Amino acid sequence: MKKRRALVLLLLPALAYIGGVLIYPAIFAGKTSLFKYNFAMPYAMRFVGLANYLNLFRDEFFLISLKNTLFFVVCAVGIELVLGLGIAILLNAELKGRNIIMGLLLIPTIIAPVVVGVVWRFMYNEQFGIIAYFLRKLGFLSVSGAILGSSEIAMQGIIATDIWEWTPFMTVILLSGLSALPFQPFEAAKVDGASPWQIFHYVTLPLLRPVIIIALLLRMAEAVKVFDIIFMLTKGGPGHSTETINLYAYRVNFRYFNIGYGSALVIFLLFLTLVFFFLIFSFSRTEM
Amino acid sequence: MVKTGKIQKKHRIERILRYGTIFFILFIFLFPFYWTIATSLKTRVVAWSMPPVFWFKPRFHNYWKVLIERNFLHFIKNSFIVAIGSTALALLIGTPAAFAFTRLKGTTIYKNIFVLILGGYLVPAMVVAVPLYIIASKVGFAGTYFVIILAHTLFNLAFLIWLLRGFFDGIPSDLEEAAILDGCSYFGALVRVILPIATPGLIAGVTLTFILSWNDFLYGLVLTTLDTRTVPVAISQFLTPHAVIWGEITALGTLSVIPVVIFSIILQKWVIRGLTLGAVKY
Repeated sequence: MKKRRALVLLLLPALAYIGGVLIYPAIFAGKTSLFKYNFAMPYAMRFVGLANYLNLFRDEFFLISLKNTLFFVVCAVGIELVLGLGIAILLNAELKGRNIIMGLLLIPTIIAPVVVGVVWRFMYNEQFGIIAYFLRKLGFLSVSGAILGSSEIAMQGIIATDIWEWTPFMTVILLSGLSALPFQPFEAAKVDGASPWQIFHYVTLPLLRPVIIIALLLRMAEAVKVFDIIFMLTKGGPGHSTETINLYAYRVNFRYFNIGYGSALVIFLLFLTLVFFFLIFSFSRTEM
Repeated sequence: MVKTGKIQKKHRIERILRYGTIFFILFIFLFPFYWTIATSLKTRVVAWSMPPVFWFKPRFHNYWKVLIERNFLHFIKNSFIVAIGSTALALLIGTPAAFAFTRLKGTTIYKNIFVLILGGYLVPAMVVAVPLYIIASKVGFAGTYFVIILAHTLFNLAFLIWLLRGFFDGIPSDLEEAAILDGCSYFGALVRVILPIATPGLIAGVTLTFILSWNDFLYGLVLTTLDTRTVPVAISQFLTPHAVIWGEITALGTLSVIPVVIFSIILQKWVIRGLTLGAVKY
């Protein structure tokens, strides 16, 4: 008992911190979301109950941002999974210089997302960007065409950037999952004369399933909150074609200073993240 | 004989294919960096020429401009203050907590509170940043180092506890119990016995939390002003819709990435361990 008390004492500072800087602000945001409250006119604060939340689903811009967010999450994370799995299988062999390869491969994931945005915005630039140049050479882009300036393909450009940034992350997770698999099932399949594709489909995939699901959920929980690269590449434009929930929440809170409605948006985003969070948590408990 | 020769040949082809594909993939993932660094070393005329120029004489005028004329060192200083401050605070609070969590494993305290701590890492920045911004403005703390360090410590703390728990798990509890029998307090045992063994874990934790803070954008965007602005926020504000000064911005990007890349190559093993946390049991 004495031991337990001593250990809880060691926990206290962290708990106090979480209480003050996570729980209290979250409750504060929840409370604010029930008010009509503009930071520019703090004295006109008025209790409106759940009106802000009901208005969300009548707000055209919110619905667009919700659609954009879901599109982004599904496309980006889906492609990252496929590519990440492919590269992980490629690297899951006896390789010379594997450490160096991993170190170099990880650079896109480890650097600041803002810099990722700078790098890609420059490459996408319609006048002197190298990607625009090659797309034109190959006939995929008209002479006057733009990538980030076009509401049809700007989102694809952002998704490509995200894929570049996060595929290495997927690779690392899946690779550590692959290298932890027992080798007997693979041996047995080989002895039975299974083709590489059959081995992949009937042995690798089922064995790797828990790791794949965790990797997917981890990435999705992050991708729902995407902000930095879109802020750097398009700021949500052209129009609202690349505006995600987090960007819209930023606009409402810090451009219009409509903190009441903005807080409702933020709480909605929190709700989405929590869904993934509890999925990850319950999953990692049952499967591992 | 003929058969083994065939198999060897097949193996060799497979190896060549594998390495070839790996090099191609590495090229795709690294080319954008080469291009960014190259642009930062080009004169304006060379950088804007079409078709793109791949070989040129490097010039460092963009770096001179950025560091000296545009006073970018000021933002680098800010980023260092914030990253060191939030890493130190997270280390101070997080190390004992991580240790306590390992030894409380399986209890209800552990199950319920651990989730809460991890929330600090997964929570959308806006949920914390908007209230912190309002509260800080009310108390007159808005835009100070204090507020941004407070915010960064939130994700750093969660990450550090998550990481260190794995290290402490591997240290048998007999060690600190022996020290306690010899008259040490729990805290004393942690400092004198456990921490020296966990040094590699602490180094990994410090590095990764430093990088997390160094890379953060959204908290910095909301919570800093010109005086306390961090590097990513400063970079974003160089990027105006009109007349973008690409030479200077790519120089900024290169500068801000250098410390992270050096760290991550030296401590690659720990970086990978940090990234795969929670996904794979170890």
